[in-house]
Amino acid sequence: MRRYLIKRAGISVMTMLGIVIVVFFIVRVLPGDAAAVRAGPYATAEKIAQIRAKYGLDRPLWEQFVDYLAGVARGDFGVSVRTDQPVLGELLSRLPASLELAVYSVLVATVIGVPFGIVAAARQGTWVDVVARVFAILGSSMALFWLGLLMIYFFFFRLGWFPGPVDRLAVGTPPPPTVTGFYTIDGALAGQWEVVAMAFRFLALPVLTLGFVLAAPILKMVRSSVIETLASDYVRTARAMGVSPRTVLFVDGFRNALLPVTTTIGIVFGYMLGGNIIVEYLFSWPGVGRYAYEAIQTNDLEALQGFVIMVGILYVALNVVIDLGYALIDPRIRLGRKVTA
Amino acid sequence: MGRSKIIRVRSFAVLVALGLVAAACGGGAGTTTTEAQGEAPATTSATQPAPGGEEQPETGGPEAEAPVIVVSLSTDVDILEPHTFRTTGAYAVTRALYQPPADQVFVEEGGVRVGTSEVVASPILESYRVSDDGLEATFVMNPDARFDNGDPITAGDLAYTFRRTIEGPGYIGLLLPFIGIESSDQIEVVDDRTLVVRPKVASSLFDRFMTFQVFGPINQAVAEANATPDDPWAFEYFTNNAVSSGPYSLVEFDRDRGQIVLEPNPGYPGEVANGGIIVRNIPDAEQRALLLQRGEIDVAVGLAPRLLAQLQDDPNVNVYTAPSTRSVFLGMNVDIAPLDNKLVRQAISYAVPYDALLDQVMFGFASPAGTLIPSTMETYAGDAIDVYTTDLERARQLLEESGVGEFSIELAVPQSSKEQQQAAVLIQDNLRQIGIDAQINVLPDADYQGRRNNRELPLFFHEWYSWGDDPFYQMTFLLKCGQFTNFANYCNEELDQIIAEGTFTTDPVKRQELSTRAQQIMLEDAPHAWLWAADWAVATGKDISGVTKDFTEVPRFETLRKGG
Amino acid sequence: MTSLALMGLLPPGIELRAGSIRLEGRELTPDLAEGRTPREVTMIFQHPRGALNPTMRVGRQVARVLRINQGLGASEAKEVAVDLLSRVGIPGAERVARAYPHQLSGGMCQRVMIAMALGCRPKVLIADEPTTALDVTIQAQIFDLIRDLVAETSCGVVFITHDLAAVAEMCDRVVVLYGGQVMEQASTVDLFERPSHPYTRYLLESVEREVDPHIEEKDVDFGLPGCRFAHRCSEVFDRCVEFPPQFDVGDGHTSACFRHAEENSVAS
Repeated sequence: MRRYLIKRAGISVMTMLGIVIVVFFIVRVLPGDAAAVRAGPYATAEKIAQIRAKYGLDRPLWEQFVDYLAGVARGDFGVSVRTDQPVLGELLSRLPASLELAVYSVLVATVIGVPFGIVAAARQGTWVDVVARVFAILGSSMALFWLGLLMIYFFFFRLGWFPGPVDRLAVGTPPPPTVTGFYTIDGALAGQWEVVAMAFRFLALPVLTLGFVLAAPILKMVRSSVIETLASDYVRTARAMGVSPRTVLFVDGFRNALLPVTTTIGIVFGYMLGGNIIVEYLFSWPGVGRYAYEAIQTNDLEALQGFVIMVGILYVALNVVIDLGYALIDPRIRLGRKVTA
Repeated sequence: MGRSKIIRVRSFAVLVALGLVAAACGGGAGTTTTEAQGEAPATTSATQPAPGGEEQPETGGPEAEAPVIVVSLSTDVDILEPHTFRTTGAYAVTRALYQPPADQVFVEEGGVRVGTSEVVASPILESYRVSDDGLEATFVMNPDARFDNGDPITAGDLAYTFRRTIEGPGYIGLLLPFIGIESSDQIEVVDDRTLVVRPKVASSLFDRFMTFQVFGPINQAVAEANATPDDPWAFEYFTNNAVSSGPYSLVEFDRDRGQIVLEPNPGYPGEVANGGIIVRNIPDAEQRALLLQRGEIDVAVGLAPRLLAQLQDDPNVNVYTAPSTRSVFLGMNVDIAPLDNKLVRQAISYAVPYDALLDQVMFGFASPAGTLIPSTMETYAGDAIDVYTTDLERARQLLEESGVGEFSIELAVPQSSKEQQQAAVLIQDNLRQIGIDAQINVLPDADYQGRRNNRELPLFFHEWYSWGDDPFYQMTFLLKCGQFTNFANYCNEELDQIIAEGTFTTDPVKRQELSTRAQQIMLEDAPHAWLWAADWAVATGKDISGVTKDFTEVPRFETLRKGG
Repeated sequence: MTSLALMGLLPPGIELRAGSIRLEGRELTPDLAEGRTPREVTMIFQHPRGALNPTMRVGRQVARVLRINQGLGASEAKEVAVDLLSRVGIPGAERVARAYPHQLSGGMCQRVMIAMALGCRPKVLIADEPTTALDVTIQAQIFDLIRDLVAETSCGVVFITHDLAAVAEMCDRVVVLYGGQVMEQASTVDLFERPSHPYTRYLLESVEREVDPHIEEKDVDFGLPGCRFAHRCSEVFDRCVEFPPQFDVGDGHTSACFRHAEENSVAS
């Protein structure tokens, strides 16, 4: 196990290095001049040159890269051309908002996708299964932006059930003292239950939007995995030995079927880290996705790089955690050696 | 078949959903932010948030009863440094923190306080006087005017601010020659309260420049305390902080949440019509409009004409508009063939569907532009000389005369402007009818600006608004030989001479003469086809009044009033 | 398929339509058609390791069977499970009980399955090719085990196999199936000494010597009417398009072939 961990750690570092290299060069290749944007409409050629020099954009590419790499190793992701603030700090302070959104969305997606998938698999061919599959198709093909707009229009604008896409809390409401950055947790820790309720109300629409779309791949995976499990030899054995169909489904079927589903949930979560740009833009959510959107618009290279690299690192870390989790759950991976009789 | 467990799980999910709905409904009536704010001014003190507002924290001050207004601007606020270029949203915030020495006189037009060209001392000055020859300006500070940290606003602070614009690394220094200021020895501190500035040349722009926030006093002591050898003017400090000489104090600047909280500055001698401002960044304009309609924000800026047209029908919303000189033109790079042929450019100018642009793209929220001096700007000569109208016959004739024949050309549009994209489609249509195949290319903003700056774009869109709002100022930046922002690469000696003369002429008759001649030249050479002059527009809740349009067209906060 | 039908474990899409399955006079078909496994019948399978739950310790799998079928409490079931495991010849049963299937050899897994089957206290044990996937030496051990258990519990065993040698060794009676149809039934001795059905004879010949080159290799064609062996039968004639009844060809010995029509009567 320890050797596995060390190997995994080594591979992860190599992967992250690869991410940094690729991102750096791709971002530099992007057309558009960040210095010109910062210089504004009264710019002159000298002004733009001045700004380029200030941010080191006029040095040879490889020199910029080496500097950048050294910085990253130190934890210095450069300074945003747009706001003049250190990129890492800006990303870290916005990260909890994105994570809170991601966690609840994946939770909702799982709560929808897993039971639905199990029922669809157990009742293959019936109307329940058909509904589940239609749901999966809808969720996979629906544009996040479009669904989000619909949700806002109906549930906020027409019905007024939920607050508008303003922020994580109502305007003028101070956030709870920061412990995790999750308002729902920090508010509870501080005993500010109205804040917790309010945070949930503001989370509702974006979480439901994302949850609906993310439930689709989870549902599909659960359904096919359960079907496969139910058709397996060991399930047949258990039934032959008198185990009731219900117990078989939930004891034998469940645990084995959910192994691949864990991976799917992990992938879905990883997608959330980067794919939130659209939802955060639409719902004015103060997370890293919106930060990235603004960086793209203004060609803020450092911010953009920082964002992509951070997502890459988180994704790699997430995968390691998933693999470890998988290894813990599946005894075939955890215990390799044979038991000699 | 495992029913019970599934039902349990599903029930849980349903309960959670119901719980959310119940919470939404239960808090629904009282959670509109405006109501919650009605009880107490927005502060970041640890009062319990109050959906339904029961808590009444103790706060002193005369404005404790006045409501707080929630504003959403067209962009986010990136930095607060007053002497460097920043986002549109940032300009609105800094206007509230840096009070210019002078201000316009305002008249009421259609619910909007519109600034006239008459300029007087602002509340932080006791008096402001310019000599008859225009070569000496005297500023006497109001002894009651204080920064929000309690320091009195002295002549020394105002002088420091002037020097910072001249010598500092910001862009303002480029604009000062227009008002005849070039070096710091033209700035003299006579005593603690009196400052004299001596422009080298008399300029009609001087008065109006004095109303700009770039000359709003910066606290010299604080600036010098935060200066470093690398950053002698404390740009880094003022990027994130402000010691306010204006009507408001900066209470909170939260970039993560896109929120800024402003409270009335007790040291400001002038009137503040509300209890504070909360600026919230809502990136999507549609959402901004929706929130306004539901009453969750009070003021929305930067809405597209289409949205404004819809909002006009909503009884809960006021749409305030005023004519403006903010114009959009189609630029033609005179160095790229076949646009180097004057007749081709004239042909294109006749092909543009001007009326359709005003109706279908701007929904009537614009005036015709006509020339580089739009119809809404002083010295506009469109009544005396012929501006371009849509005339496809004439366009075809000119194209034939030019001997160029049919051709294909790139028409680049920035991604951020839906209006320009729609205009491009309409223009493309008309150009096709005269034998020009325009290929529309929508580019991300940074890319668009980069290529335009490099003069790579043959046909390009450009929106121009200058605070100077002055014809010769306008001509300088857009068509003067060698000017960086002259992306059409146009160069005409006679025009340059007119510009040089007109900039420093104050006699209105002479100015009109020069400007008329300049417009004739520009129409003849046609480096630009001027599409429209967009209205200044702000949408607010029904109970908001006091919107103000000044030279800068930056939203004013201190005049906004909510309710009676 | 037949064995699965006997268990009520037919896969989705296939159902029990006709026929009768009786055990000790009790008609089992109504239960089987609903997918309910009869208590008295249990089954062990061909690939033993795959037939055990990979994420559950084997001891627990056995104990679970005991709890369901014998109503034992949790701790009692654990003890009896270990006991069963040693009864089926697994040394170090306590340690093995804590192991997962992937840690055990194929033979051991099969023993575990047999232990589970035992725990069901069945009247009939269906053994579906229990040793086909195992080593020949292990095979002998498993056969011994089954024989011992039959002697001990007097349960009946339905032994499904392709291995004629195993049949000869283990079985009292044989039912020969081809394409799902019963071709011949007899005591083992009778079958080997006096094979009546063409297919049986073909089978025995193929074990003893070279196969007749006239008879081609062909897959079973389930679409054919009548006798499914007809398309490969060297004695086929026109009546074979109809499925033949079982003809009596001896004492407790029937064969389903129209070749017997002249001499023999139809078995009841």
